[in-house]
Amino acid sequence: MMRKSLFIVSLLFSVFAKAELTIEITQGIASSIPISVVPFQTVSLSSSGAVIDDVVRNDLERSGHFSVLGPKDMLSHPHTESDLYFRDWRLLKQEYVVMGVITELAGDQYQIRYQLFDVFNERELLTQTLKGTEQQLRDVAHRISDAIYEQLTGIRGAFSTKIAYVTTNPERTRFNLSIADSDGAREKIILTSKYSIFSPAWAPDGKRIAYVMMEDAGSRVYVQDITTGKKQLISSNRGLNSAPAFSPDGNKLAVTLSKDGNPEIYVVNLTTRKWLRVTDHYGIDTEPNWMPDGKHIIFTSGRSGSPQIYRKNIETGYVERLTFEGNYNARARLAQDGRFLVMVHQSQQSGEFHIASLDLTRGLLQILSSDTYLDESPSVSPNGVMVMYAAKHNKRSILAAVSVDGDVKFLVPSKSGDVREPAWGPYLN
Amino acid sequence: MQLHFTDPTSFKIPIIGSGLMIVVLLFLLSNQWIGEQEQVVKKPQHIAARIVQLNKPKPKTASIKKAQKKAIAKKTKPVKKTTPKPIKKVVEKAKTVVKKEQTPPKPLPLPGTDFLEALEKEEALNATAQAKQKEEQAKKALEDQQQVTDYSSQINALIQSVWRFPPSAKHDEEVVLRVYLVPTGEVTEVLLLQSSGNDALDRSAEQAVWKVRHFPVPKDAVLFEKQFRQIVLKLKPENARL
Amino acid sequence: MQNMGKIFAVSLLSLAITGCASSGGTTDEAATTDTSIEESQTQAVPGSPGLDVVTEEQAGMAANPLLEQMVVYFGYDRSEIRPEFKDILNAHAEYLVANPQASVSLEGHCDERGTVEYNLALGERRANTVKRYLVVQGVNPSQLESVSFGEERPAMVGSDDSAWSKNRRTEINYQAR
Repeated sequence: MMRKSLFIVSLLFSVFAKAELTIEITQGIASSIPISVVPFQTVSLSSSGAVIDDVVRNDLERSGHFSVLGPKDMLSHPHTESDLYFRDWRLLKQEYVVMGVITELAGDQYQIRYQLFDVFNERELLTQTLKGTEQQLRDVAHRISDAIYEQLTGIRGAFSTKIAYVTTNPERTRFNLSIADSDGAREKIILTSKYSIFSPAWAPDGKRIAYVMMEDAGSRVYVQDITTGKKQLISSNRGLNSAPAFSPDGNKLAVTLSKDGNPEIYVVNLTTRKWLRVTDHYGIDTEPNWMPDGKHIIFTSGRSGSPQIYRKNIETGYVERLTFEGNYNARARLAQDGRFLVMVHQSQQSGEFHIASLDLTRGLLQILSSDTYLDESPSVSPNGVMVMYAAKHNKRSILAAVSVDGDVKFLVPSKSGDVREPAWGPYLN
Repeated sequence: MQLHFTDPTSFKIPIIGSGLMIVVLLFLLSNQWIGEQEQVVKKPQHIAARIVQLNKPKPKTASIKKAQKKAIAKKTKPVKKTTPKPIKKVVEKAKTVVKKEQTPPKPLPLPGTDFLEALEKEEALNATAQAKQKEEQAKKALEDQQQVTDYSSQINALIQSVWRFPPSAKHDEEVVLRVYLVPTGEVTEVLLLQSSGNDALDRSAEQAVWKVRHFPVPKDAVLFEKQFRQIVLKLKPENARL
Repeated sequence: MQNMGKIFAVSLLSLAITGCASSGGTTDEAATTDTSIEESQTQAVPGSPGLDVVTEEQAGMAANPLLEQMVVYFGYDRSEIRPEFKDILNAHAEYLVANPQASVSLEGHCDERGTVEYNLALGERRANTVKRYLVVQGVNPSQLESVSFGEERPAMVGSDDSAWSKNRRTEINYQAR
C-alpha cells in the first residue's frame, strides 16, 4: 500500500534584489494521505448500521490514495468538535480526521452526519447529513467515501459504482454474470449459462450490459437490461460476433464481426439497427473501445504482424498506431481523462503478460501489475484512476486492482471458483 | 576623530592626522598579526573620505572580482564570525590612541619636502583602503547572499519532505504562498497568493507550511527583516505523474 | 507434442466408429460427444449438432491412418500451418474431395495467454488457414465450416507450455449431414 516517492532534489530558488525572497519547491511526496475515520457514534442503533465507518475506511484504504489509521491506534474517539484535539492527531501524524454520528429515526430511517477536518490547517473541510434505510447504509457509506475522496484528492470518487464480472465453477460447466458494489459486496447474479460468457460492457447509463456468449455455433452478442433481466440478441452473423462496446451516448454498439471473412470492427445503431463497417484490413481488428468524443475508436490490430493498439477516426477514416513497445499490446482502455492507455502487454524480457499503462503525451510505458500472472481484461474505474483486471493466482482466476500510476495493488476477494472479465460500471448519478 | 575636521583651516591637522595615521598604522601593523590586516585597514575610512573623490574608480570591478573569488574560496565558515568583532576593537583602539596623542600636542617632525611624499603615500593607502572597503562590502553582500541561499535551501528541503500533493496534481501546476514569519522562524500566517485552480493542491501546499511550522531563519536580525520576515513559496509538483 | 490430445482424439474417433457400427447409423450418445470435449471438458452440450453420424462412406476413411489425426497445432500467436501437419491435412482433403457429401467443422482454439477477444480472433484465423489449405487442395468450400472458440474451450487445463501447446489448435470435426 505504501507509495514510494521519487525524490529528485532540485533546488531552484531565486533571490531578487528588490523582490521578496522566493523559494521554489518543485518536488513533493506522491504518497498516500494519512486519514483517521473515527468509529461513528451510534445513537439507539440496532445492529448493522455500525458498518458505515468500516465501509468508509475500507473504501479509502482500497483506493490507495489514503493510509487509514485503525481505530485501535487512535488516542481518542471524538464525535463532536469539542472533543477533537488537533494536537493529538498531529502526534499520530494524521492529516485528516473524519467523525460522525448515526441517529435512528422513526420508520426504519437513519440519519448520518459526518465532518471532515484538516488537522494541520485546523479547520473543517466538509459536513454532510445523509439519510437512508438500513438497506441503504452501504450506499450512504460509499457516498461519504466519494465526498471525502473528492475533497482531498481533487478526483471524483468512484466508490458508489458497480462492477460486473463472470464467475465459473472449476469444471467450467456453469458461467454466471454478476454485478456487485465496487468493493465486491452485495453480489447479484444477472445471468447463468452453460456457455461461457465474456467481454461484459456497461452502457453509459448503467442500466444495460452487453456481453458475448460462446454458444456451440459460435459467439453471439447480447444486450441485457439489468433491471428487467431481458436479453436481446444483437449479432449472430457467420463467424465472430464479439467485443461489444457502447458508444459514449449509449445509442451505438461497436462490435467485432468476421462475417466478411476477417475480424473487422463494425458499429451498429441500437435503435435503427443500421450497421457501419469501421475497419477494413486483412489483419485481425478487434477489441474496440470508444474515445469520449464518440468519433474515435481505439482497437487492437494484428496488421503489423503482432497485436498493437490503433486509433481510428470513424468520420475521417484516419488510422494511427499508438503502441510501439513490445510484441503484444491488446485490449486497450482509456484512463486519466484519456491521457493514458491501459492495456495487456507482454513483457519482452520475461514473456509474461501484465497490465501496462502508456502515457500518450509522454510516450512512457509502465508495467502496472508485476505481482500477478497472466493478467488480462483491464477495466478502468469511471474516475480514470484504478484498473481492475483478471489474473491467475494459485491456479485460480482472480480479480486484482492497480492504480493507473502503478502504486496501489490489491486482490479483490472472491468466494470460490474462477472470477474473470471484470467491467467497471459508470457513475450512477 | 571628528576633532580634526572641526578646524579645517588648520594646515597642520591633515598632516598631523596623516602622520598619526601612519604611526598608528605602523604601530598596529607591527603589533597585530598579518591575518587581521584587512580589518585594520577599515579604520581610516572617515579620514580618507575627502581624498576618495580624487580617485579614479578603476579598481572596482577587479577588487570585487577578487573579493568574490576569495569569498567563494572561503565559502561560509570563517567569514561570519571573524568580521564584526575585530573591526570594533580596532576602531576603539584607534580612537583612544588619537585622543591621547591630541592632548599633548607635541611637535611632530614636519619636513616640508616629505609632504608630497606623505600625501602620495596617504593617497595610495587610501586607494587600497577604499578598494578593500568595497571588497568588504561585496563580501558582506556575498555572505548575506550565501546565508539566504543556505536558509532557502533548508526551507526548500523541509517543505519538500512534508509536501504531499494530491493525486490530481499536474506537473505543470503551481501554487504561490506568502508565509509570514517571526524572528524565531515560527509561521504566523500563510496567504494564498496564487491558486493552482486545484483546491486539493492548494490545500496541500498550505498544509506543508503548517507541517513545517518552524522555519530555519538567519540569526542576523537585519538579514531576517530584509529577507525572511515574509517569504514567497512557489510550489510546483514537477514529480507528479499527470 | 502429439501425445495425450491426439491419442485421446484417436480413441474418441475409434469409439465413434465402433459406436456407429453397433448402432447402425443412429445418433448415439457417446458418439455425438464433440471432439473438442476432452479430458477436463466433461459437459455434454445437449441439443447441439454434435460430431458424427458416421456414414458408410466415411467409415472408409480409416483406411488412411492419417485421417485419425483430427487436430493440427500452432505456434504461439501464429496461425500458419506447420509443415509437419500438411500430410494430415492432405489426407483429409483427399477424403473430402472423394466424399463431397462429407462436411467438417473446423474449430480454432487458443491457449489462455493474451486477451480473450484477440484469442477469439486468432482462433478464427487458425480455423480459416486450415480451411484455406483444404480449399487449395481442392475441397469444396461448402464442405467446410470454420468456428472459433478462442481460449474458452481448452483441450488441456493448465498454465504451462505443455498445456498451452495442446490448446493452440484447430480441430477437424466431421459433421452429420
